[in-house]
Amino acid sequence: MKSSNAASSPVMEPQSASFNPDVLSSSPKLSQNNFRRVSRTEDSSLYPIPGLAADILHMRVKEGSKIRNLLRFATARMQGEGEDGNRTSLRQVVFTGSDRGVTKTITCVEILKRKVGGLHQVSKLYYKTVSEVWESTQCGAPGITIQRTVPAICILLSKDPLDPQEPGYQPPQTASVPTEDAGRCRGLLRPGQSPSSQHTAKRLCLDEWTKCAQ
Amino acid sequence: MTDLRNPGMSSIPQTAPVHTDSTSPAVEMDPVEYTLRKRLPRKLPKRRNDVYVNMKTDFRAQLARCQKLLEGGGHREICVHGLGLAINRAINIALQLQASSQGALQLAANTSTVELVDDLEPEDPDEAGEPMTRTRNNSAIHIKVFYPDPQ
Repeated sequence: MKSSNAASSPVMEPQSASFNPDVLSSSPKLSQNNFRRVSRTEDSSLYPIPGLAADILHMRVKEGSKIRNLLRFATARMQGEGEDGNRTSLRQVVFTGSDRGVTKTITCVEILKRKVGGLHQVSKLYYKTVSEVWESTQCGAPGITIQRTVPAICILLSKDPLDPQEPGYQPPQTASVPTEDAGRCRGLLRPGQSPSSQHTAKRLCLDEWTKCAQ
Repeated sequence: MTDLRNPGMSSIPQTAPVHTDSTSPAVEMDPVEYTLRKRLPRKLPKRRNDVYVNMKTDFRAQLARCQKLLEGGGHREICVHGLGLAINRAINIALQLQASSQGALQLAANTSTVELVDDLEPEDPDEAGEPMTRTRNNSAIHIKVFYPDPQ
């Protein structure tokens, strides 16, 4: 059972090519109005993280996926027995997202880390090749196939410890002692804070902020 | 009801308490109208090799700045940060740097959550509403782009 992909409808708007002009310079900007995208296939390549089981829970986050749907499913599988009771909880989960789904992927991971404590994380960035078939709306003109490369992210969350030397490793949030390598960007992360305290102390936040700004 | 949307009309006292009864059960808004003002994200530490990516500056300019730091600036590693919508651009910059280095550069990405503060300021200073703040979270990415050590 995989996460539902809501973004695979054929009437998706053409994606903007302004983000990476070097990569997407071949996209048919001028003739886009005359073409209709008929199919979009992504390469289902291997995970960029080494040493993963093939049957690992893989959450594919698309642009139109709902965060609550993704998280309801993922937390149920990670937080122990599901509805049937005899299913054991998973130790690892992989989130992948590409292009405009990247932000949503990170948000999902951040929320899941807060819900399920003590998760080790490895994040990988890579380019993903997407081949699109466009067919012309004017009869007679041939269709074209375009290879696009879009930025993608792959995040592994694990209850078991992972290799801290792996690039992109992050220790669990609750462990406040930063390790030597991953602690490089650690000073930028916000300290562990209970989410319930945000709502009660709105005015406090203001004071805190002004203090920090000086 | 439409008159309430008009800021000039909202100070008339007899129209103000309409919101409190059951005609609009789904709306939890205060009767006073607020302007939402987003503050800038909290100022983060900035070293010479930190690059904070935004969506206002031209992509090529930001990419060139990173290349300059790595090639001309003599830095062995730089940190590319992106918040919210700029995550995509930060990833793109990092991947472009890696691609143009012919595999010499490595990436190490970390994710985090950043708390942002919004100010809610009452439209009409005569009414009872007082300024409020509201915090929300946004996702961020921090990518270390570095030349791996030879050993």
